[in-house]
Amino acid sequence: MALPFSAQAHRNNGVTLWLDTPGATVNVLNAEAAGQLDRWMDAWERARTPPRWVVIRSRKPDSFINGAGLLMASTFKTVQKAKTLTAPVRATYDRWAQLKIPTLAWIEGNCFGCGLEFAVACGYRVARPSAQTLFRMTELSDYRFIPLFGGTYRLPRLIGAEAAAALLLGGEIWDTEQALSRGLIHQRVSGELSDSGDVEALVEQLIHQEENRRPAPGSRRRRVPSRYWTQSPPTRRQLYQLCATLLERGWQGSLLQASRREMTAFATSVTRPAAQNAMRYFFVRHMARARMLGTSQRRQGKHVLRVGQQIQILFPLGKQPPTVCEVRARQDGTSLIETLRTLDYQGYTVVPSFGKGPAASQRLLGRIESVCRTFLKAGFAPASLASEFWKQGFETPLRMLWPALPSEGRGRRRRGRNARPTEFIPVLLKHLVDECLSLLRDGTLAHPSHADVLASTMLGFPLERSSLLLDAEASGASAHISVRGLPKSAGVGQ
Amino acid sequence: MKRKAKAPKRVKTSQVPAQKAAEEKVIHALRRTLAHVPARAFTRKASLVKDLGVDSLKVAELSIALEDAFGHPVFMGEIFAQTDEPSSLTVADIAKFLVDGR
Repeated sequence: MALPFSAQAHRNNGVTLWLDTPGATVNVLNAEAAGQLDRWMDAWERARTPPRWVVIRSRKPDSFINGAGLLMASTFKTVQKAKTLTAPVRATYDRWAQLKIPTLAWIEGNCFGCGLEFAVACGYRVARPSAQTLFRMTELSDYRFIPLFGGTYRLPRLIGAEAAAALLLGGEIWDTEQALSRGLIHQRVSGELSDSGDVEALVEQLIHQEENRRPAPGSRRRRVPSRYWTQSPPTRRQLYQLCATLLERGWQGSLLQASRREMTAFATSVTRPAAQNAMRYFFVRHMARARMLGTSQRRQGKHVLRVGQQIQILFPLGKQPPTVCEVRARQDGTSLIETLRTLDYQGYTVVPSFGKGPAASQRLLGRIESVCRTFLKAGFAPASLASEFWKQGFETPLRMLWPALPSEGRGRRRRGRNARPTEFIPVLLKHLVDECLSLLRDGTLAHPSHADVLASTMLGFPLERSSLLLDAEASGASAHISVRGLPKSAGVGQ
Repeated sequence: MKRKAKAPKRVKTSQVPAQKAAEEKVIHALRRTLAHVPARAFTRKASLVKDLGVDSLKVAELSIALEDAFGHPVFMGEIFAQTDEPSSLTVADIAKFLVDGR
């Protein structure tokens, strides 16, 4: 099999290492790639004339480095195992960061998680603006564990704890302009320069410019705003506060001490159920995407839209109200798959709803409204329903899902049986699971993973509980579902 | 003269028809997912991670391929999470898991 990296020598004794993870649409810096880097660093140490500089680039235009691969992390069962198995790749990162040869990360495409940490371990960073050249720290926001490869001390030392917190705790996604203004990258490069291959002059200029060695603006901001954990649901407040502490202490002591603090925090957090469940959802999300868009090896069926036929595509909520986009074909033959791929490429979460009836999202929202009305009728205060929803870790405010939720009204206790706040979420989840099964049976949704993605994206289903259907199966809330097999009347795939 | 009773003949897992059929399906799904891997690497004892290079992104694609092959949802991420040594999970192990429904 081909190796991840290939080397290109330049006339002034510079080297470009091109990363192209074999058989994958995105690059990952896994153990194999790290091992290859180690062998190169060994060779450079022994060489009489080591390279003058080293540039890291990607052969995949939409992906610089998307991470290190979650498969092994999702299987860590003990703290010691997490430390032992990640030690070799951590050592590579540390060694790379301390390399005496100038290193430059030439970023085109996604720079996420461990990829961003690797870029920060390089001495210099440039980026080519594009729709896919984005910077994200995914460890906390997507997987609920502390970063492992220097994100809690190299990042704050570079751009300041406050900016690092915006990425790590706030889940911000930066484009090249934001990355430049925050001091994450030194320069934006044009597409023409990127394509020409004429990098020598730019690299020489970068490594010799005095201003590139000055601290980034905001790098002295060493306090993390407390809102990142005080305004978090209780389900993750402790983890976010721990990360904030690490970012603030990232300045203190030696790099070795900071590294050890980070390693301990990572190993503890990654073995917790919250992280293990969040990583389960990663697999669900990718299954949903693969089932919908096809894979590199499996072309999705040619599903075309007819005039007047509608699909409803859900756009990610984030901090905005839920939006369901109704797409109607204007002419026969509009390719559904191409439409979905275009939206997916732009970063939207797409969950197509088939059939002529209400969209899947509308049916789920209808269930939420129905359950809320039941509890309000039982004398339960609107504020306590919203509070319970938030306390259980749901990202989306309840009022956004049902804008008609009354804003006033005190809870009145009736005689006889009273609905307790703690029953609200279990009852709500049961209704949602029942509706998802119904959606799958009647073909409105094509696959169980689509139901899970819908619940997560629209409702903000807590990652700490993995996904709606996996959580229901694990808790035994529904006897009618199994991850490995739906009731026979349900369809599977398209 | 008494004859000693013969010990029951041990049947290799791969000789059980359901297991063998499942292994063939798993190998077929793997070959679809990992087109860049040489064909000779796909054996029943091949480790998905160590020998075939399956990573977290390929797990999702593999799940889809196995769903097509077995006709029901397959959550590969869960299979990996349940093992003590995921790096040593083999084709035969996956097939057994799918046959046994565990």
